[in-house]
Amino acid sequence: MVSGYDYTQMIQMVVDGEGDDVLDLVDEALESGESADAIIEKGLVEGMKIVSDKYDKKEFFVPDLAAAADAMSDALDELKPHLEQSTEEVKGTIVIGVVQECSQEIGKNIVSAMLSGGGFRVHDIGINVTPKEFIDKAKEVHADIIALGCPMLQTVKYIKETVDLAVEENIRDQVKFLIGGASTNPGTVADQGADGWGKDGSEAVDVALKLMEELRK
Amino acid sequence: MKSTELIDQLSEKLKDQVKNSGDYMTPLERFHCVNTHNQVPDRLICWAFYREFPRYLVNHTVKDLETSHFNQTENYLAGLVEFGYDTIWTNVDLYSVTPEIYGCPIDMKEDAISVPMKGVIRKPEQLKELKNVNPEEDGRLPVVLNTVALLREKIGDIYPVIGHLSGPISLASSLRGASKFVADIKRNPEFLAELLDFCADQTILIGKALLDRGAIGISMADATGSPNMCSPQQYRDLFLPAYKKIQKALAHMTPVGVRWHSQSGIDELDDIETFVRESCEAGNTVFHVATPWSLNIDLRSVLEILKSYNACLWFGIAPAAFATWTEEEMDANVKGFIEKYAKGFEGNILMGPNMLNDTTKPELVKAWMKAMKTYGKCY
Repeated sequence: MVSGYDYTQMIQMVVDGEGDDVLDLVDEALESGESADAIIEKGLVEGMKIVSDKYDKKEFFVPDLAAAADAMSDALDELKPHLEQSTEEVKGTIVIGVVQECSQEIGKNIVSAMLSGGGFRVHDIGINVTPKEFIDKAKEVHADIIALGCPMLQTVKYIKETVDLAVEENIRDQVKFLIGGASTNPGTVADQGADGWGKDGSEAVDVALKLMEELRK
Repeated sequence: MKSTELIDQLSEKLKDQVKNSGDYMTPLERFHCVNTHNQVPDRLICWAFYREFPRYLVNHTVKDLETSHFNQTENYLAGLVEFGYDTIWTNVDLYSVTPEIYGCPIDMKEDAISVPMKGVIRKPEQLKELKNVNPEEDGRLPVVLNTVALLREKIGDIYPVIGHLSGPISLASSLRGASKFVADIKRNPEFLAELLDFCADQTILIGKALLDRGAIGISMADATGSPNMCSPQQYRDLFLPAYKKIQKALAHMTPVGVRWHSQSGIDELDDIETFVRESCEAGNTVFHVATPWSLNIDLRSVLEILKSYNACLWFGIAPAAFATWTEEEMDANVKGFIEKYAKGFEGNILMGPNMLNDTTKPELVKAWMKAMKTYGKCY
């Protein structure tokens, strides 16, 4: 069936970070018969792609990203019951959080929204997450990827502690570690024993997809 | 002030060490030489950010430090005696102390830094309900103030005791909640300006109390105030006014001045020069850039600008290196950094690791110090 719904306005509201308007438009789209998957793909993700692109070009800044991610996150919550009935394939299961001793969640929220929009089942376990909490949640939900946000230099050590705990708990070969945040760089991956690094939300989705391919090999 | 036997012993030992170090200047003289007068010191300042790192030397947990000024003082003194760096870091948990006073729930574990978990200003109108802090009585601020006073009393004649506190942007982010705070920059800048003004007022009150209790300068860590958190215009319109207000209130009270050392992400800016100049004109006296990102920018050009404003650059070895390098690598890199960046800027540079943490190998801190003393001699 060809969709008749016009997503232009929803895309623009995501770009503008207008959460309430996005929610209204999501409801409208659902009422008009659009599937949750279509709304995410054609509306929310398209909007976030524009935001991400503008951020890369330095036309947008962190507050623009955060407002758009916030709008998208609310919309995804609204769509959750519909997604549970969806037949679309989930691309992978991710546990995401900000490492222990840190409460700066802005980047993590953006990445979390982007990964959800990118087709992953995301379990966001918040801030100040201990290595044990990451691993326990990963075991509980059978996560494919643990994504650790690490915005502050003094907390980088918790990446390795979490990886080491995965080894101790015998799940290291079942789970990949994706890292990001202001205190990390590509070199941190090797230093801390992780598997991939994402500069931003958009790159995190690409890296997560690659990590899923590696897991399947 | 009341003390402990260990504090007295460590203070005496430190004084002996400084006296017999063979250095021409004491750490206090070196600090004033660079930070107050921008003159060439006897050797480059070893500016370590070490917080809770040395606690293993005195068998304390992080919680012990966060709740007792005696324990905190023992921790700092033990680090100075063991490693001999030039700095004292007088606040272990600077990002949680003030938010806790306002009711932010704090996750305090036995041996990890406390973290504010949630904001308290759910609606903008709630800002008006918040009262000014009383630094001498509220929450754990007396622990911070007493630590400063005790250190000043014990080693203030040889070491620079600086008052460290979290800056206004980070405080605002904690009070509002990080996500709402950033969204407010875009959606509600008028409210955010009010919130930042309130947070600047609290920073001033705490800063004054620190100076009253003996701190010789004020240093604000303000991670959320990094320039990559918003657009250059938003930084100018929202963040700089808060810093300027603090400068106006406190800078005249101390020759060392007031610094906010949160310039992470500076390498992402299109116009680094304008940012550096505007920060210096707003009164900042120390620019902090984190390695390895700082190596992507022309640090000597930044140093030229800072020198023209009598300000300093703080940069150095990446924290991860203190867990992974060999002593030989440390030696070679310190030598290389000094030759490449410090020559000609000896009165404007503070060199050290951004953060020593539990992964840091003590022998590498000693190797760093040895290399700094060997290659950092200025005359």
